[in-house]
Amino acid sequence: MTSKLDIHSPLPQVGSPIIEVQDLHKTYRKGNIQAVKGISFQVKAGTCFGILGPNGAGKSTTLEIMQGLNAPTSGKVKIFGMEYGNHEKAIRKRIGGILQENHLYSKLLVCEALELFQSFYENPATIDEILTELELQDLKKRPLRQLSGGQRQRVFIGTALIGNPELVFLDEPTTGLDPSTRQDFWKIMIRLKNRGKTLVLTTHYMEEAEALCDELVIVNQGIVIEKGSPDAIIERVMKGRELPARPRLATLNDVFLTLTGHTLES
Amino acid sequence: MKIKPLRRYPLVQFFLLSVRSVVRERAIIFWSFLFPLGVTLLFVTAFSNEKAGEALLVAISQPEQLSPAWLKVLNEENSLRILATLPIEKKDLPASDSDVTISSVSQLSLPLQELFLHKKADVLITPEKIYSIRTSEQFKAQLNILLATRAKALGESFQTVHLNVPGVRFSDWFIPGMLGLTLLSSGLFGVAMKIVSDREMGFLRRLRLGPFPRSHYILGFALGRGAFVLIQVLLLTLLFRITFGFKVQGNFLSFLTYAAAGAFTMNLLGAAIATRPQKTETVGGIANVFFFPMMFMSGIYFKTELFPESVQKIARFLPLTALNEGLRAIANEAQPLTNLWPQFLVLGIWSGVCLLITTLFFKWGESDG
Repeated sequence: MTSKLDIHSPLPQVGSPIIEVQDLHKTYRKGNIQAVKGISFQVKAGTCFGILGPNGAGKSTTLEIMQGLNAPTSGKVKIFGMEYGNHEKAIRKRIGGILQENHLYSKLLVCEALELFQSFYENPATIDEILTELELQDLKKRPLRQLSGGQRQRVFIGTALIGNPELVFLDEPTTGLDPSTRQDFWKIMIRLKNRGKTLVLTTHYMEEAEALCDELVIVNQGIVIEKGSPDAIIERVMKGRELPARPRLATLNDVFLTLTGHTLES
Repeated sequence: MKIKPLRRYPLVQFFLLSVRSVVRERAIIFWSFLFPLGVTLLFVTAFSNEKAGEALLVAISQPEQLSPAWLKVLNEENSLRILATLPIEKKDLPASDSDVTISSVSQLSLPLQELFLHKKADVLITPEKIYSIRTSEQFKAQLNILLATRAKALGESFQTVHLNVPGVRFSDWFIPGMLGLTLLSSGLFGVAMKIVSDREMGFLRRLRLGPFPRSHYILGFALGRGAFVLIQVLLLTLLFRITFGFKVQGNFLSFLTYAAAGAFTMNLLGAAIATRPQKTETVGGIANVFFFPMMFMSGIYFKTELFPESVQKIARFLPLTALNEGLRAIANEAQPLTNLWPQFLVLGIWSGVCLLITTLFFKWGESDG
């Protein structure tokens, strides 16, 4: 079924670079903290790109610079071949995103929140399209404060998608969500990717990166320490190394899902 | 060209967001309506200059020109206390055709303000007329006794005087100022705190991702709050009518229009002080820097005429002074809006400067690029 959320031509061809990050540096004047120390990578259109790293690695700063929310100390970021300086509006029309911490007035209804963000765009998706995409149809008239964490996060995703963006930034979108909700979230991400959207996400969940990302960079202390597809990285890094012993194949993740099923959200 | 529905404009959406964020908070009912009413009740009770059971304080101007019989009665009457005999020049007396002239304090010349406010006189008696600022029921009764005594002394016929001079009681003077203060606090604490709280929570950074004209957020917000405070002014005026008999003597639509202009200025002032702070605690402090001086200098509790000339000069250019003067001029003196251009000018300058500051220096988040 086609939807307004599908990406159509004349967008960049799948596989052509949609983001180019070159030798990015960021030093915060406050405390003279070097958060990013020369990061470079490219993101191809229609893929899901992951930025992985422990807390404080510089992944959110990098993502903020890519979204034009933070200025780099040096280096370049090109989105759709344009830089924020002169083309901010042109870029913003084509991107969407959610931040690490999202906040909306809690007494707004779901449809009101989406309507607010819808008004920013010239050719947005309809509210019903977004609600259907995110399986939120029954919650249309519900205030945000009555939603669960997972439902609220889906509304935030909705605010990122309502402008029908080609490129979506997601800063730790599943942090704080239970495993069941997180997996529901992955399904949505995969559906978006299938619609031709380019996704850039930061996460510190390895299984999330493995499930969603076509390519990723691992960042530590402000530098890229590894990049490539998850399989290629595993192959390259783990080759010739002794794998840790696994006393059991199942994980606590599996136990939780088995015990609770997928009903936690409902 | 296809025209978008109104709801699809960011300005309209921010207007709606602003209105929704206020009307959906129950505590607003108390702080917006009952609190101003309570404060007014407190002040009117404390300062309405009603002195039950006390003798009238009478000041006499040019006693040598009063009829001896009338002067004798004044000196012997137990319900009167002669405060002073002092010369008041004719030019300082309010023009009036009637025998008894009751004026609002703001309309009086400085010598008369000094007499009625500082020396606490109830009545000024001149050879021609009687002047006062009081209108209470008790005063009406005392005045009628006084007039009857004068008629008897002069051998004239006497008719009871019915004092019905709205717009001159303390409450009439105080209420427009209270409404002005409500508009100021809505701007400084409602708008400024909300903007900084939105910044603190990261909502502004999230908004920044969208490709909408940045001024729409501020304007939509200021207009939304403005709409709410207009309803607030409307309902408070009604409540004051019921509780204090307050009545707008001039055109009510002009009163509301002027209040709307004032609300818009105060909301932009709130937006201007919220351009940079990251924490609500900080903006609360900055808001107080504006709030307290204006509260004392702009004629809410104390009349600006009581301050030294240098302070009065500064006070004249404060937005709250302009707002209060305008509201009082319409409410108590039935002035048309066209007479209020100096006050409009002050409000306009403040609005322009605040909008400029907000547009140039507004910060959307902690690490704006």
